[in-house]
Amino acid sequence: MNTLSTPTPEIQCNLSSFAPAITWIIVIAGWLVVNSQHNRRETRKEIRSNLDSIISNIEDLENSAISYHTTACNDIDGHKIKVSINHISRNINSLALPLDGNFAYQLAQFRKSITLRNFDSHEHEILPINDEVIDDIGASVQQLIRSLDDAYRDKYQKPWYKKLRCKN
Amino acid sequence: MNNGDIINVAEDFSRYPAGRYVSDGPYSGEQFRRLFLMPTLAQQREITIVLDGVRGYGSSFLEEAFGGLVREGYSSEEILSLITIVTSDPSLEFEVHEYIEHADTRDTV
Repeated sequence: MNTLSTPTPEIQCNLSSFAPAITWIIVIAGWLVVNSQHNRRETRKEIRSNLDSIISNIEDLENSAISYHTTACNDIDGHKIKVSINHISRNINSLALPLDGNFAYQLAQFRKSITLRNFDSHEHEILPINDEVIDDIGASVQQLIRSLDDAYRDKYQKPWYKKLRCKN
Repeated sequence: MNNGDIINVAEDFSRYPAGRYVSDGPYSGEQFRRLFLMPTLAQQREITIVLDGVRGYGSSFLEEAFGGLVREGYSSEEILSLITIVTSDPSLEFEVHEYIEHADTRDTV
């Protein structure tokens, strides 16, 4: 007797009627996975592109700031620098990246390195290229760019098991 | 103690604040401190400063406006209890608090 291995006609009938539905479920689930991966990849590319643009603006601003401090300047140059810092700050804050409280510190250091000393002052001095102010600008720019790259890497390039470890 | 004074820097002072001292221009940090912050603190009134709307801040302006209060004799605790900073940029709030808390060690060259 082989009652277990041979399904009754009723069960066979039920399985065959579910087969198309199961196939569709697998197809739809596969499409959802592929689509979400595609969207995630596109979002990642878009954020990387925005990030590259911000980093390029930061580097341009570094050049403008060094030029401001090492040459005779005017109020318009100072105004342009402040507006650029404001734009960069807003663009960074609108990035879909996990920026922690430390980032406010990085941005503040960036602004301070350029505009705290020898800035917007009627006693503006032409500084030598090896002055501490110029060194501080370079250091804060590098730190800011590194922090942005780290935030991007943490969000999009960290292996999933490391993310789990961080959460725990 | 009264509640309620709100100062919007862009509307009540200038969209283009610049400079540390009055000698640097009409919209300097020193001028802002004298016009808006010190009279309110002298009366022990709470005040909310809205930083949004300005085209850009220089740290020299912020340091002189807020850090200058400490040099005028107000304690950090007193200033922080009376002044509330409102801004969409967390780095500005961080920086202002830093100047209030560490004004005596700032570099104002």
